[in-house]
Amino acid sequence: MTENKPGEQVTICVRDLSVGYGRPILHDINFEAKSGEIIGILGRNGCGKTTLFRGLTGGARVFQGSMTAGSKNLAKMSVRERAGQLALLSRSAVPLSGMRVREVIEMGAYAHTGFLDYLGRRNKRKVEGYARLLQIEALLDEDMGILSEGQCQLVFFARTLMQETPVILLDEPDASLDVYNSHLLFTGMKELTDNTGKTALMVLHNPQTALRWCDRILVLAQGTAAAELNLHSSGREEIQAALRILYPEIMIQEVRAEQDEKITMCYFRRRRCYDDYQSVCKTKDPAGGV
Amino acid sequence: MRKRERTVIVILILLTLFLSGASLCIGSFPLANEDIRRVLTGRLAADSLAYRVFWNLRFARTCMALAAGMALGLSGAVYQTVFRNPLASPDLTGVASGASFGAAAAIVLGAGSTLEIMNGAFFMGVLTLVFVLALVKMSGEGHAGSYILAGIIVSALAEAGLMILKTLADPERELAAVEFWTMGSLAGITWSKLFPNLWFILVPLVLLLAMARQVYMLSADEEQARTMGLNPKKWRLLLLGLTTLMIASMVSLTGVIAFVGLTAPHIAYFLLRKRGRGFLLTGALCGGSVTVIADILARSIGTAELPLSVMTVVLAVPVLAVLLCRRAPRRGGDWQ
Repeated sequence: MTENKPGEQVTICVRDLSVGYGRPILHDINFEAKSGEIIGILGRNGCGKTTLFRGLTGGARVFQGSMTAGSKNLAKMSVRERAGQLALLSRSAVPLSGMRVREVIEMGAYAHTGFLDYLGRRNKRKVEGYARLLQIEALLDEDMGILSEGQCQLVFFARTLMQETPVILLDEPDASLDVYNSHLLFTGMKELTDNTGKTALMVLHNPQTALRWCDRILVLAQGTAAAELNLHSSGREEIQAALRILYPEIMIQEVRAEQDEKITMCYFRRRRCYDDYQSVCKTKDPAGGV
Repeated sequence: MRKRERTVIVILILLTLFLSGASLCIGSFPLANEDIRRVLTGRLAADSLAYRVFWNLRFARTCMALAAGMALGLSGAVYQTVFRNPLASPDLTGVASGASFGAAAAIVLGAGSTLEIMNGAFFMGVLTLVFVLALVKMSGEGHAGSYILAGIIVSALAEAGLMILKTLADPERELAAVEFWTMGSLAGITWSKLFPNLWFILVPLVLLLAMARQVYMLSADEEQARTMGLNPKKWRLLLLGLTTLMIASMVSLTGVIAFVGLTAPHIAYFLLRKRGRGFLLTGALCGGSVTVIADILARSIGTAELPLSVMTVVLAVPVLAVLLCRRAPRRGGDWQ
């Protein structure tokens, strides 16, 4: 694997992309990511975040536009070559009961491991290394069938890292994790992007997570990229304006944490909607109702 | 964990070798151990009766039993893994039903010579896969479930054809021949009949064992397999093709051998307690052992030889029943 210095090299570049299934769901998507960056993709349910990832990995139809990884055209790569560039942590992973955790993590090495390396278990140390990173060493010899959903998710994350690709796609990686496990996952990801120059694209639901871990945020709305935000250079107002495309009443606040680190927080004001409910209930039904 | 895997496989290989040895020593023709030793050391003339019985009948028969059992056990293990379904057996794509139909057609409509039966069974067996793939293609999706459903449709069609042929058959000779064929037997196997079919069994057998890694990865869903660098459509097709080729070649020689393909992977899971590394090989060895035992029993119990499927079912049913009862709730590793 090539070890890139952070911030120098463009690892993935998408131009005028239209992607969907029968017809396009997303259109005119443009972005590029450099090594060492973490990019958050925010959008409401059903806006096409997962479809974007499927387009990149070959699971959805690309109608228009270009996608390049490194300097090569993704669309022209074989399945195996593509898996050497992009790894995906998807939400549809089946738990593979009957297999050992160790074997499931090792599967990630398929694209860069030959038959003899597989027989000789050459990836054993790497499997254990990634398990240590995510604190799941104790599970290595367990059966996947007895793990909880969150534990499975960490195993699949280790498998995604095992692919050792320059770019990692994470589709709602914290969906079934408890607070501390999702902390482990994001810390692990951040450490890897900082130290090995990997790029991570993460679909996230919680804007707070995106504000905490990402360098940039891509906001998807109305079938296209409605805003792109650099979190290092944008001020409170700018961030709030961009996020309000998705979440109309969101409030952004900057907080000074330990060692003068600046943390951007977000929250929603309490909304009074009982009156709305009552106002509808108390209205007389014009038709006389049943 | 790795230790258990190795122990199980070594013990099974020894067991299989022992059973094959026993199979060489047992049979209706009285070959004394002394004779066998003389045959093996080459001190008996090549045209003597003992020599011919040993090499041409017993050796060929044992090889066939072993190859057939391993083929069944392996393809059962492959299908159960790839389709994530504990009910999957080598007949998933209807290959056995198709082959039965082909054999029956050769017996009833054709002259019913051995060669004709073999060819009919082989080609109809392979043809079922073509139909299954065509149906899956027409459905437009490539999900594991579509293959299973298409297999049921094609299998039912072949069964219906088989019933028509049975009603057309002459009840004295032809019907009996069809019935006997669908119960499986290794009685007619000679060394010359084994070829070239044995190659069509052994080569896919070795290739499939070498593809174990891809088989395990295909048990993840399609998107997972693809993003890890494995083209699921291409590999699934390759696995189905090799398995069908192997089973069709085998069935065209032996007739239908029931239940081994379904049971062997369950025994393998019971021994290994997992379906990862080593599972396919264990499945194949379990299938081989079960079939060799069944064949030994088929020709040594009673005066006339019993159909092979009777013995495989008799052996498999108690095993499956025991495994079913020992299945503790939520031990993990069970399919939903």
